[in-house]
Amino acid sequence: MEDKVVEIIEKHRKDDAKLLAILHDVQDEFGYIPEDAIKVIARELKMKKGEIYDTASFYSFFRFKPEGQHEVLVCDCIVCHIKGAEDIIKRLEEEFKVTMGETTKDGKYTFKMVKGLGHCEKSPVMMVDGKLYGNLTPERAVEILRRCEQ
Amino acid sequence: MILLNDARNIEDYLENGGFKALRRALEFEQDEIISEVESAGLVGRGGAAFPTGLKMKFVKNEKNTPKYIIANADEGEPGTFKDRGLMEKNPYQILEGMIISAYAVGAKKGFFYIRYEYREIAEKIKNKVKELHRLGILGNNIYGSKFSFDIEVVLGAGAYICGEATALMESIEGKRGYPRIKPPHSTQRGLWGKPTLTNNVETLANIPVIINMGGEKYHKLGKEGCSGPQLFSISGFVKRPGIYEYILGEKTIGEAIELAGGVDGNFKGVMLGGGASGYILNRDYLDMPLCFSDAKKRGVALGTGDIIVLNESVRIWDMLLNIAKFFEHESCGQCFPCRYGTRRMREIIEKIVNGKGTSEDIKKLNATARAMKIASLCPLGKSAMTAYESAMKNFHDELMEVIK
Ligand SMILES: Cc1cc2nc3c(=O)[nH]c(=O)nc-3n(C[C@H](O)[C@H](O)[C@H](O)COP(=O)(O)O)c2cc1C
Ligand code: SF4
Ligand code: FES
Repeated sequence: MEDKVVEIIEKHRKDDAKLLAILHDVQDEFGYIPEDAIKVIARELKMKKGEIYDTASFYSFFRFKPEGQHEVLVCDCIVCHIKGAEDIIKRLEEEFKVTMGETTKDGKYTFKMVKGLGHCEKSPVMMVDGKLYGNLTPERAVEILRRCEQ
Repeated sequence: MILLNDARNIEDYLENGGFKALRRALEFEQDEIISEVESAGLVGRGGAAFPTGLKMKFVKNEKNTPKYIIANADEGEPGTFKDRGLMEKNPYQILEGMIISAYAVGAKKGFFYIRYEYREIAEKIKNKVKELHRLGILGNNIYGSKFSFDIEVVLGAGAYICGEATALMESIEGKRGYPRIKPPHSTQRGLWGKPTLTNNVETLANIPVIINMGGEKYHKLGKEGCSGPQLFSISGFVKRPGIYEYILGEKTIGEAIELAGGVDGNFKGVMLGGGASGYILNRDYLDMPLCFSDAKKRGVALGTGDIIVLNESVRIWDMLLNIAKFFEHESCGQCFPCRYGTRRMREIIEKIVNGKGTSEDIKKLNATARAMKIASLCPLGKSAMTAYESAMKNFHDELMEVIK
């Protein structure tokens, strides 16, 4: 792991806004930000481990433990909300036996409720592994996720 | 269309006169550019409507170097998606505006800060930055001039507060996104303590337009108190939600709704100027022209230019609860009035939504609103209760009906 993290740091050596860029790349590589990676970053950037954790933990998209295979972001911000996000969330929670924020038992999906995906012309929306699905109904939301299983 | 043209490829952009404004601007004195922007009457499209030319002048007049420029594409305000559309369709116009602005204030380095949710767009912008380097439009001696400038694309990581200019600077510096205490203003001491110009991406896209047509002529687009084109994000219960571009002052709220296909269902009201920090308005506002001064006269603001249309299925307390949860989640927690106030606001509204609200609760909400407005450190805390207060004014009977 160390080599990979060092390689990522080297890639961003010349950037001014290093830390976020490094954390993003580390998360892409390992699926989360491992403790050991934070150690390496701290050493290479001459920072304290605590400082890095302090920054990283402020941002809601950085995670510190492994998650499900697929990341499902369900928007429950104002426009999606008035257009029925609550029904979608309820249906997904029933269907996949989780509450928002959790990972399904089989490790396939991690569900998160988010505040505004910026696609309100298609509300209600969700994002699965970075791909946006709009004009959802509870049935369509389930269908889309079942399709990613195959 | 002036802003929302479709020019995703460099060929399309160049074919339609792209980068002509930059070549021209490089022959101007810095002050000449700034005075064109001032006479154009352009104000920021990021929510605060601050005069762009004036902000440029502040940064230009600072002696301290190096100077920086930031394109703000954090677009976190719920109900707002116009920056996304602009970046997808017409990204080069933003970049051109950024380069011209950098030249005008004397910045050599720029940051393009994009929210995490727009990751795909960030990748595209990165590629375009590389492309402009290859073409000599970025990098050393742009178009053979003495001016050199580079852009770094920064991807956010999920924090509404990072759209606030000074929190955004902290974020670029690799810290938590805590807004800074002002003064000093970031035009004086911004990124790494150096003079920094921060503009919304839509604001920047107006700069090449102003250089091409001249400030005076641009100023004539629109009417007294507002000039130029503006993008509006129209969503909620309309038949054709989307991004619409209008010259400021030309359309009323009602007309904008009709042009978006009309109301889906029976009209109830709109949320204007930001889906969290905006105003909840009733039908009395339908005849209000979309113009900064008209909005101000009526005690509201266009903010980020979004209109969320509400029909009769929407219950106002329920909407206020959603907004309260948003602020509780997005308060950065740095200062007590906002950290505590947003939680209290959510608790009280939750109680009311559950049918247990009393007149005592309304008094508590009003007191919380006042305290947050006075004592919060940044505009997030100050504006968290705007929706509630405007709803109390415009939907008083509905809100009070459930209060015991
Ligand atoms: C809580 C908060 C969030 C903000 N989010 C954004 C944003 O996402 N995009 C933006 O351009 N401005 C945002 N702003 C406004 C910026 O602080 C700043 O005024 C703006 O980027 C300046 O650019 P302009 O003059 O071109 O509007 C936000 C302000 C606050 C208080
Ligand atoms: S008002 Fe709220 S968001 Fe702003 S600094 Fe204070 S706690 Fe943070
Ligand atoms: S409110 Fe959900 S995408 Fe805008």
